[in-house]
Amino acid sequence: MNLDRRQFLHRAGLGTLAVAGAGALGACGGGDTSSDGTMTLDFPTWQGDEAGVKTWWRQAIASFQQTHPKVTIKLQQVPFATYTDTLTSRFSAGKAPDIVHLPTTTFGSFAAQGWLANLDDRLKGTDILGNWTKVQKTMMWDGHNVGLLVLGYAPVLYYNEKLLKDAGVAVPTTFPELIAAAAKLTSGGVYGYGATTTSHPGTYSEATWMVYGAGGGWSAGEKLRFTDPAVVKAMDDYRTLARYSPKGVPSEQKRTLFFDGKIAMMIEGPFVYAGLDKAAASVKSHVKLAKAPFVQQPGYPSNSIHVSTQASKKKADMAWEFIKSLTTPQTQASYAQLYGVPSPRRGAVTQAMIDKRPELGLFQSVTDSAVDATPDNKDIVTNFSEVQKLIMDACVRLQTSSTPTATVMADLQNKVNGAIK
Amino acid sequence: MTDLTAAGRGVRRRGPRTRWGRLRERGYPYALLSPPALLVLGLIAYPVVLVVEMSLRDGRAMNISAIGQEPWSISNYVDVLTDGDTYHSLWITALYTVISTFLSLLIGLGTALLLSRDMPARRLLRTLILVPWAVPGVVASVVFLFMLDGSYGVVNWILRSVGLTEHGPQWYFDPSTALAAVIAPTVWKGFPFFTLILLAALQAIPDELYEAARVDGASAAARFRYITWPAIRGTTVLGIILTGLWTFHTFDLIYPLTGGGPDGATETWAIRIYTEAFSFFHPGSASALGILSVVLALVVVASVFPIMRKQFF
Amino acid sequence: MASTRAAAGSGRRRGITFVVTAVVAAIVIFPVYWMIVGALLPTSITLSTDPPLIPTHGLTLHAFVQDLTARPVAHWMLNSLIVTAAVSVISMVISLLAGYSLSRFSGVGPTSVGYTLLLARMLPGTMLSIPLFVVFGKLGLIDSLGSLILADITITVPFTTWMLKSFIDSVPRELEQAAMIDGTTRLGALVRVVMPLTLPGLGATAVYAAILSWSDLLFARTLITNPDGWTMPVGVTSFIGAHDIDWSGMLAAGTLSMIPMIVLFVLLEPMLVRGLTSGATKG
Repeated sequence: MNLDRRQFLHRAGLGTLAVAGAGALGACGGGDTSSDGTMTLDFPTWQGDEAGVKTWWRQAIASFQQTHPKVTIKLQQVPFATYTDTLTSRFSAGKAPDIVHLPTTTFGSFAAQGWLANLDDRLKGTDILGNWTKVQKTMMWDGHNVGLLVLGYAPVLYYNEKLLKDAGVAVPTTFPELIAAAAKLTSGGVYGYGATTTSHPGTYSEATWMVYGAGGGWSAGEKLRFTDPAVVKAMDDYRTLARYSPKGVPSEQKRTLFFDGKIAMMIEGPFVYAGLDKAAASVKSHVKLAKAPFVQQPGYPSNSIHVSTQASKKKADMAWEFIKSLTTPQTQASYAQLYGVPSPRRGAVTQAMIDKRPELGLFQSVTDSAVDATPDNKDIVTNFSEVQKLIMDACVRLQTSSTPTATVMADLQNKVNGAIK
Repeated sequence: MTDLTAAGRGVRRRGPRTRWGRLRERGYPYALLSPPALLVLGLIAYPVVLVVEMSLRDGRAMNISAIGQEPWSISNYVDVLTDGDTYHSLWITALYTVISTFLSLLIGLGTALLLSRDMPARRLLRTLILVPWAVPGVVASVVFLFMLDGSYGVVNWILRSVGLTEHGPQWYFDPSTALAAVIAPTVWKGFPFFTLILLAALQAIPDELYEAARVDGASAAARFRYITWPAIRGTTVLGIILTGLWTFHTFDLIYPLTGGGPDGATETWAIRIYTEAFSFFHPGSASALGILSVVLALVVVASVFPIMRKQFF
Repeated sequence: MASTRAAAGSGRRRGITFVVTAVVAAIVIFPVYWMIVGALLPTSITLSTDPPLIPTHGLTLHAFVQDLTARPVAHWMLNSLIVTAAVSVISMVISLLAGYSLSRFSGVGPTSVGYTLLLARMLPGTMLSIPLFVVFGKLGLIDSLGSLILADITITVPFTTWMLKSFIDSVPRELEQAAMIDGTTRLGALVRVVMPLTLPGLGATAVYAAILSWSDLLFARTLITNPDGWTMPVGVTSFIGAHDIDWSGMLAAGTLSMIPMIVLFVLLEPMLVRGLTSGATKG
């Protein structure tokens, strides 16, 4: 990351020149391939620092560069908090990255802008679609695959065996049992359940799991379902669980508290399991996993990879080559191994791997049996960030006020209606 | 002696003699103004025109360079003005701006009055009190986020230690305290500007005025009312306008802390504009809101401008 | 006798003033102090139910070392310094020229430019960032520090121009006219006669522009999308990850980011007090 002299002069010079009105001079570089045939692909991601998966990305890039010696893939770490804004800016200025990595929550807005290239023809010649997770369905836009799902998962129940035993509570298998257990476990500085209790995207994920896990959903095609009795009931349960949670904590902090032994149970994605390494020694051996006590397992897309419609033919081709290199059985097996999550490629997680890491078996089986927990209403998907914010606001209201759940949900339905029309 | 002659000559030959000289003389204001004029045209006027255009185009394409293909429409203004959230957010903006500015003024005036007195180590104390002004807004945000953590922050610890509360407020989590919790760093970073300008105004008041008042037996309150206040009134108005505009536009002391949440409790217009454009992909509504906020600022400032003009320009 | 009593009285007054002011200063500076403490201690100590107000052990420079070796904090700092220096210098030049012109000439041209500058102060930065993004996108300047410099100037110049204008108002016209009669051009008179007399104003301009551009987060995060071009404020926010927050690292970066501004402030502060208020106090 050192700024060498040339770069420094380039930049300092740019400033001066720009002020002199010679703005166009800034547009140097930017060609597809330089004269010696080398090519650089731009790859911003928020996972460049994330334990486990960062190693996987770097290995995948290194092995791709080995087989494509003239190609350099430039991984740029962008913090998650500013990731979507940064990418939005780049796309709207016509400076999209060559390899587009998206958190699936923003997928709809980007697809609606026509920024993601149709991959149907490219996928046709491969074995990918036949072997991929069914959550890949969320990547369909106007009947075409415009991306490839990198991770889809179903959350599981994490619990502290010792805390449960001490309180004489059995591992809950239904939602009423979960709530009763959370209530009983909350005492003496320990919280029975860990929910995200602040304005944070984590509340959206959790609310979505609760609603879809209870057999409900945010929408049924055109129709919004925020006021359905089943949805209201699920949100009310979520509200009750939050009462047995520490207040004002974002997802990150509640995970830390769980691994510190201050929270007895939480429903979380498989990637959280990596945090066990940092857990307090006295807690580590007590952390256990179970199937979450849902009626049905909510399958939740996490992130996906795309080719930009702004890329030149050459760069788009090369970006696809890179994406394809990620889908081989070996690379997919190493994804599960390094990151500890189910791999989207069926059969990539072998029995031998499960024997070594039993949690992988649970993660894979709940994911395989999961139903799709993304709203099927296209207007919601297109306006996702707005709808997500409205749902987050509603969660905050449920957690901080005494307004009846049905009222909050009716208000939410109105607001969502206004936002997507 | 030479000075006198020069001045005398100046009186006789006011203005250049030749036509070229006159032309050049008339061209000077434009030559000198051309850098700021270019800046104004290129970086202020053109963007404003673009914003006005964006606010009047229907559709929601984020490819802003292609905005010209969308049809003209006032739907963005209709959307913004019929949205109840706009008014809620206007109320938040008003509360945030007025309270922050008022508290900054109070603390700024108090510290300026203190610092204008004679005391040991005055220069050091002055610098310490002015330091927050030099702290980048985002750093101030981060520090307050750290200090005001609901469960483990030092502020709640202090409140608990002195027995003020049992648990302490969940500052940035609870909609009823979040606004106060973003006003705190705003005032902290904003008041030293008042200290600075009021201090200079106070120092310009001749000591003899106070001496004379004291001889006449005027009370401290009367001295403030009749000597200090008239001398700093203009500066105060100027400071209120500048700080008011600054808080009205603040981004870096709100967005990193709450992003406008929880549940819209800290969503000022400035934050709303950003969210509409960069999170919701509504450049049209964002622009309409931007134009409305310029109009609002103009109306408010124009109503106090006569005072400011007399005192400052 | 009377005079010694008065002296003693004023001594006590000085003492009381000092104590009160020192207490106020301590409260004001506490967040900065706590930031430094947070940078020197692990979060397990500072973010706890019983944090030590005056820590005595466990202090470590680890976060600073980590920032400077494992993270590109020095690189962000360099970017910030380039931007800040350029914005300060350019703001001084432009506002001196424009302020002079507004002070000495009347007419439609100067006046309209002057008022447009005032209007610019009414624009919310969050709104300005959208079209600036488009303009710089067209010029191919996105991701260059040049775009950041230009954007920051649009915020600083409107204020500093009017500030310098009121400053130049107080410089007698006769001085430069005398110089011009002696054969100097108007520009020469501006540089040789007016400029030296407006030094405090220029100093205030430099500090004001520096503080503003040094702390800018909005433009830096919209106009610079490539991490190589990040400035300190953007860098500071990057310590908030998807899964956790590196508090010590972030607070250490925050501490480092204050140092250049404090130095500038201490050096130029006396000028600042005079410079910012020349106009305000003369009225």
